[in-house]
Amino acid sequence: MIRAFFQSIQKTLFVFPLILLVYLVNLGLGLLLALPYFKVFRGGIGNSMEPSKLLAGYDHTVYRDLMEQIEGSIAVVDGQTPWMILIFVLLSIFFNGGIIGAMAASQDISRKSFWTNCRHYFGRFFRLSIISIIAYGILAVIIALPLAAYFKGISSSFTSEQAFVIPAIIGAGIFLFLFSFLSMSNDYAKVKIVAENSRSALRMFFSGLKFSFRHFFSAYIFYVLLAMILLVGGFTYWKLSGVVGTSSMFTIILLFIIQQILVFIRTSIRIWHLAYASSLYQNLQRGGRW
Amino acid sequence: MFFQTSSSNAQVIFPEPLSERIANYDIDVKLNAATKILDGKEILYWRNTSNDTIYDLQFHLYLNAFKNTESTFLQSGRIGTRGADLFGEGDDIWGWTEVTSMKMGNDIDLTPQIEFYQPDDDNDKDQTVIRVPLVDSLAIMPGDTIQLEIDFQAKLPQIMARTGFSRDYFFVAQWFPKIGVYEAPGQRYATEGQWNCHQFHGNTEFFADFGVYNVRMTVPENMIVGATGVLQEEKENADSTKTYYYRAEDVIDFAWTASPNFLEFTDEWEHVKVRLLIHPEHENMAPRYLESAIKTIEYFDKHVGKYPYPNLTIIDPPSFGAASGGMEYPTFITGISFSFLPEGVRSVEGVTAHEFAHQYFMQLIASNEFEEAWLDEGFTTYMENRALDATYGKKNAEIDFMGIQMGNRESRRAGYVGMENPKIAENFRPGWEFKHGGYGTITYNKTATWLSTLEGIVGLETMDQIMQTYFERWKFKHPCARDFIEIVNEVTGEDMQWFFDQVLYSAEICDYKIHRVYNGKVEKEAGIFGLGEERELIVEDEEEEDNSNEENKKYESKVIIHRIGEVKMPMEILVHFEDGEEVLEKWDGQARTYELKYERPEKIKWAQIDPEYKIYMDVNFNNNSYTTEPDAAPAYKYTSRFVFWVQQLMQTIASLV
Repeated sequence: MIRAFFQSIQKTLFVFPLILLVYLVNLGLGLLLALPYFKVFRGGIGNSMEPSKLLAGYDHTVYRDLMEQIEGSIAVVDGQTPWMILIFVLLSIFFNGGIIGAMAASQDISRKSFWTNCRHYFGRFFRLSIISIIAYGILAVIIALPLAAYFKGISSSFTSEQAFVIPAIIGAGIFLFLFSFLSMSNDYAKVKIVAENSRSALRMFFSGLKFSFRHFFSAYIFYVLLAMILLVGGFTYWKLSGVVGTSSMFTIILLFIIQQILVFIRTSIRIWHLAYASSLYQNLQRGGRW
Repeated sequence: MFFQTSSSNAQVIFPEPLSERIANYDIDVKLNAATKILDGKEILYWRNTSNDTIYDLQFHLYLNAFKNTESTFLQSGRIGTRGADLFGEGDDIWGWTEVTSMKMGNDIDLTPQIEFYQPDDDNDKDQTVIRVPLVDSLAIMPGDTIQLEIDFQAKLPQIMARTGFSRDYFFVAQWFPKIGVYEAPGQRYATEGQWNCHQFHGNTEFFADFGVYNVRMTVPENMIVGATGVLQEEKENADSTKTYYYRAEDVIDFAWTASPNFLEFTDEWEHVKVRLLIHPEHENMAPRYLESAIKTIEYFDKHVGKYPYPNLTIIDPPSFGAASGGMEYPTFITGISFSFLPEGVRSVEGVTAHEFAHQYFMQLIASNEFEEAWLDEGFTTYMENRALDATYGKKNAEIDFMGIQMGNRESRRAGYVGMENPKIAENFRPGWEFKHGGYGTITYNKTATWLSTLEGIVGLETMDQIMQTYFERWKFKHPCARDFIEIVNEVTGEDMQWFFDQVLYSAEICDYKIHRVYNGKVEKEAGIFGLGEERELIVEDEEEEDNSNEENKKYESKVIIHRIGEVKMPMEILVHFEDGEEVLEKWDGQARTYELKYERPEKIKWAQIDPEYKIYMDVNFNNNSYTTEPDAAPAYKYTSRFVFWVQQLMQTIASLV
C-alpha cells in the first residue's frame, strides 16, 4: 500500500498535463453556462442599487425580488445545465481511457497514443458506466425497501420521531458506505479493463468488485483518505469564503481563484485515485497476489 | 353576576366581569379513551342583550364537519376534493356531535324542534349548524337570560383541523354544542337582528360571544390535562378516572387536551404563569417555547396592552399528533416542534409568538373569523412579525442557519409578492369565498404587509397608538373593518379611507419604479428665432463652449418615475448628487408617470423611491432605485458561485461512473 501510495504520486505528476486538460474542459463547460447566467443576472440588476446589498451577505428581500424578476430567464439557463453536465461526464469517460493508458505505460506517451487510448476504451468505459449506474440504482432500492417497510411498520406505533430519524441516519450511513465502495471498485474495474485489455465491461465490473473486496483495506483506506482531503478542502473553502467575503470586485475575484484552486485539487484527487488503483493493481499483480 | 351557575364554589378570577358574559357554560364531560367518545351535559346560560324578541336559537356542531365526506368542510378545496384521503380508512376516523336532549329551564323539551340548518350554502347534508325554533310563549325577550340543559355525545375524529385524537393523545376543541352570536341591528354589518352562526367551512374558523366556562372533564386517571382557564380542582374517582375542573372567565371558547405522556415546564412573567405541556421526545425544545412565550407577552404588554388573564398554557403535540399543532384558543395554544430542529430555524418561536398574538386578535378582540379572517390572522401575523423581529433580529428572526438569514416581516412580504397571482382576491371577503386559492397568503401575509405599510405612512409611534386604542376600545367585543378604520382616522386625525379602499377592498398591487435618471448638459439656445425682418439664426459656438469655465457648466438632470401598479401611495424620493448633496422630494404618487427636474452644476448620481421602505407592500423594491454607475459585482458574485457549484456537480457525477 505504501509503495502504491508513492507510485501513485509519481503517476499523478506524470499525467499532470492531462489533469490540466480535464480541469480546463470542466471550467470551459462551466463558463459556457456562466455567460448566459451572467447576462440574465446583470440584466435583472439593471441600474438598481438594491442588489449591492447582496455583496455584504445574503439579503432575503433583495434576493427574492430579484429572483421574481429573472426567474423565467434563469430557468432557461438552469435547463441547459444538465446537458452540460452530461457532456462533461461523457468527455470524462472518454479521457479516462487515455489517462489510465498513460499511467499503465508509465513512460512518456505521445499525444497520438493518448487520443488513441481515449477512443479505444471509450465504448468499454461507457458500458461500465451504464452498469455502475444500474448498480447504484439497485443498491438504493436494496437500502430503501427495508427502510420503507420499517417506517410503514412503525407508523401506527412510534412514540418519537427519533424512531424515524435514527434508522434514516443509519440507512443513509450504510448507503454512503456501499455507494462509496461501489464507486471505488468502479475505478479498479477501469484499471483492469486497460491492464487486461478486456472487452467485457460486465466481467470487469465484477472483477473490480472482487479485487476491492480482497484488498479492502489497501483500497478503501486510501479512498477514505482522499475523501477526507476533499472534506478538509471543502471546510477550508467554507471558512475562507467567510473571511474573504464578497464585498468588492477584488474579493469576488479572489474567491473565484480560491474556488478554481479547489476545483483543480478535486480534479487532481480524482486522477490520483485512478493512479493509486493502477499502482496497487500492478504491484499486487507483480507480487502474484492477484 | 347576572346568572347563576352550578359552580358557586369556584374561585373567581376577575372580581369584576371584563366582558358582557352573554354565553356561559357549565359542562360536565367524560372521555372514553377507548371509543373516543365524549358524553357531555351542558348547561347554557344565554342572555339576550338586544332589543329584539328572539324566536329561535342557533348552535354550532363543529365536529359534524368530519362526519362524512358530504359536509361543507370536506367538500371545500382546502383538503382536497373530499378529504377522505387525509383521514385514511376505518370507522375510527370520523367525528360527529349529536344533541340527544335539549331542555329550556328544567322541563320544556326542545329536542323535537331541532333541525339542521345551512345558512351559507345549499348543502343539505351539512350538519354543522342546528336551529331551534321557539314557539311564541318561549320567545326570548330583551334582557332575558335563558337556561338550556343540553345532553350531547361527541365522537372525536382522528386529528383533523386541529381537533381529535391520535392514539392516546387527545386534543379536544370545538367539541360542545356552542350557541351562535345574535347580532342586533347596527352591530357590525347587521341591519336587522339576526343570528350569526355560519357553517364550518374549510377556510373558516370561529365566532362566539364572551362568557364564563365551568368545565369538568373526566378522563382516565393516567391522563394529564391542560385546558383553557384556571384549574380549580382535581379529583380522583372510584372508577379509575380523574375529574379536572377548570374555570375560565371572559373568554369565547374552551378547549382542552389529555395525554398520559405530557411533561410539564413552567415559567412566569409578572402576573402571567406560563405552563408548557410537552411530549418527552421534544423535551429539549422546552426552553425555546418558554423564552418565546415570555418575550412575546412582554412585547404585547408594551406595544398593545395588558394581557388580562393570569395564565397561558402551551401544548406541544407529539409527532404522531402534530396535526393539532399551531392553533389558538383562549389562554391555551398549541405549538409545533421537532426534536432535531436547529436553533437557527425559529419555527418553534414563530408558532408560539403567532398563537400567543391570537390571544389579542381573536380572543380579546373577538372579530368574526368566518367573515373577516384578516382581522385576526392578518393582525396576528403583523404583530407576531414585530415581536419576533424585535426579539431575534430584523434580518434573521425566522431563519439564521448555514448562511441563510431571513426576518419574519420580510418573509411574510416575500410570501405575498411572490404569489403567482397577488391579485387573486381582495382581503375583504369571507373565508369560504376564497374558492380558488389565495386564502392563506392574502389573509395572513398581505394583511401583515399592508399593516407594515400603514406603519410606514403614520410612523411606528402612531401605529402603536392605533393598536392600543383598538385594543382598549374593542377588547371583549366584536369589531369589524369599519371599527378599525374609524380608529385609524381618529388617531391619525386624517381620513385614511383612501388607504383601506386600496389595500383592503381592492386586490390591486403597488409597484413604483424609477424608469430613468438622465443627466444632460444645459444646451444654449440654438435655431431660428423671431418673425419676418427680425428672424435670426443662433448657432452654438462649440469652441466657446469648450473654453468656457468648468465652474459655469450646468446639467439638466431628470428623474423619471413610473407607477406600474394601480395602488397609489404617497412617495418620498431621495435624489443624490455627485457632490454628496441629497434632496428628499415628496410626491402624491397619483400620476402614472412623474418627473423631477434639476439644473445644477452636479449630475445626479442616484435616486431612490421610498428610501426608508415605508411602502412595504411595493411588490418590487429592486426597481425603486436607479444609479448612473450600476454595479455589476453582484452579478459576478452569483455567476462565479454558480459556475463553482456546476463544476462541482460535474466532477461529482463524473467520478461516480
